[in-house]
Amino acid sequence: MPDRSMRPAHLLTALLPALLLAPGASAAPVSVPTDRGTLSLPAPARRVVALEYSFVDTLLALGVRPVGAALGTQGGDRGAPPYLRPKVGGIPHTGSRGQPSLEAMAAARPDLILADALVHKDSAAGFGRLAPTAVFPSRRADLDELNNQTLQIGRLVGREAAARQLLADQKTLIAKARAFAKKNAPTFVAGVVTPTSFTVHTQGSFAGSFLEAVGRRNAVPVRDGQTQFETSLEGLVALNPQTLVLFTAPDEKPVTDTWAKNPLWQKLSAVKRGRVYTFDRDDWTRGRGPTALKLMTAQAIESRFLQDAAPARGYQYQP
Amino acid sequence: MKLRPAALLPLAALTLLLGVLLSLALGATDIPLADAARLLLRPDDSTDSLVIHTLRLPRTLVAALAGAALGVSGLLLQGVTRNPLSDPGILGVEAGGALAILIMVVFLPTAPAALFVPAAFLGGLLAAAAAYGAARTAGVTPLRLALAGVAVASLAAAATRAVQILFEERAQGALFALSGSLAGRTWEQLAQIAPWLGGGLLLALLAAPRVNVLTLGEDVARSLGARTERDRVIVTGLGVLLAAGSVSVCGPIGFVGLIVPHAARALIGPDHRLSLPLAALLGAAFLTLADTAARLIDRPAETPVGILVAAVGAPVFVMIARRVGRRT
Repeated sequence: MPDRSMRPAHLLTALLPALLLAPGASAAPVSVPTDRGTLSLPAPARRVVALEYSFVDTLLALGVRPVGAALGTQGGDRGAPPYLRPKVGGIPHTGSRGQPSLEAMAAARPDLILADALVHKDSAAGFGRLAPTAVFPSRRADLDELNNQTLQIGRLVGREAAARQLLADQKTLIAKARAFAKKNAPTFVAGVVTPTSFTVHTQGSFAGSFLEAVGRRNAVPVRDGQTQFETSLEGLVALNPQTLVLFTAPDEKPVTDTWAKNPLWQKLSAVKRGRVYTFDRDDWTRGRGPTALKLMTAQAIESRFLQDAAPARGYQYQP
Repeated sequence: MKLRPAALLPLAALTLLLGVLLSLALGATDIPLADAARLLLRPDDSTDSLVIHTLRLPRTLVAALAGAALGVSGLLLQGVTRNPLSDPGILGVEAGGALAILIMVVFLPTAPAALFVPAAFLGGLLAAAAAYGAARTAGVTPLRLALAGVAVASLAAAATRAVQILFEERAQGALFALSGSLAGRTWEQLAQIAPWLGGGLLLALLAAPRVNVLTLGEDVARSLGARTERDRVIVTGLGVLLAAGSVSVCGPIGFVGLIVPHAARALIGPDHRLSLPLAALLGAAFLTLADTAARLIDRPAETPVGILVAAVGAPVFVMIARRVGRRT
């Protein structure tokens, strides 16, 4: 609680060291641009509730343990991605991303809530009554936007320096990865495959833009404002990918297993060339934070996707 | 204006043929109409040929068969209830069938897909009986029956959602079949419904004279020597079976069974021996063309055809209901 009896002059004196020491952990007010205008906090947040996995990943990477997170599986959510699971033990669940529990969130006594612009479009106003709520477009954002969110979240929790360091490290890592990328390699099509659907991730999606950042070209631009869109086998044949990246889950039978029985599948250039790669769809499309990006960069190299070589063991698609 | 039947039926068949060709030619990639026709008759090794024979042809045939079934189902139900508002969607038959399939998939996960049609048939019968029972307590009028049907349909749809939410994982297996879309339908699914719908349509054609008698009303039909109770059960059963078959493969698609019979009767007159084959042809052409249009709205993404049909069908329903309301 700020001491109200403190006179402005004293307040300034008291804050001056903090201001000079900024951007380390400080008590100065912060204000950052969010999806719903500027959010100002009187002091950096200490108790944060994160309602998307990308926010959890980012906070942990910044060294801040959320006091609550949407890690539940209500409404069919698949829970934290495998790479994040060992790190989130003990963090109280505040429902799932799609069905956050206001009660559990209130019980965590947050001084900041991080919400998604798409999933919490309507509910964010209600969160605002519990604590200041920062709304960022996590679900439909590309790599640059999510990196910018890392910086803004860093500011909100008073760790801007750490955030800048994370981004600088990531830049170095990506530059190293780019060295592996084959020059003039053909374009790729990437998509999340579930038992019932194939969703293309375009240049404007997180995974789609990441794979471009590390040096390959995505064949599919954003279409009618949609960064991701569903397609059929026929649609995939029309795209005729030279390289195909499938994001699948080990516990599911992807719909492409059925498609692969159709002779059309063999007509895909990527199949003919033997350039069909699989990655874990939870790690690659649902983490979307600095830690996920490290893993993704390593796997992009290890799988030999960047080199445009035949997939390494464990990354081969076997229908 | 009534064209002569001799001209109308071939004309409708021609429309259907055009619809089928368009459905084969248009999609994520367009194939010229002439090429589509050639590849249909003489398949080769090209990608286009494979697209037509492995993806678009089964889907088109499912659309045509389901459309014909829904059109005829609506015609039979309208005839037997003597109610211009009857339609397998409005009477709750489709929603009941969908609920039955979902329940089967969730609670009897080992049941084979071949049981989809019988399950939907049972669910559709129960829904129709519930709608009729509810309407009868207040005296069956066309509008009351439609209202009771809509209520039963909403109830069944709500129960479907509830089962889906409570058994999220296990419901997955039914969601594709019940999506109200024709996307990705295969030869397997066609084989699953073809015997039921083919047989049902044939029997409906044979039953057409009985429907003619039933539409005259209870007293006249009986005085003509018809066994009205038995005939009514047969015709209703056929109507529900046809709707159930279509629901089991593409989910509830409303209003086809409403629009098509009205169009058929307006074109060819009330004789079911003529209006029934016309309704079959028109229904098949309508759903095939609607499915082709649905594919093009947002391609290569698929728009469920059910949404498109509802957008066209709902205003027609209001129009017919207003006319019925004024008459009574």
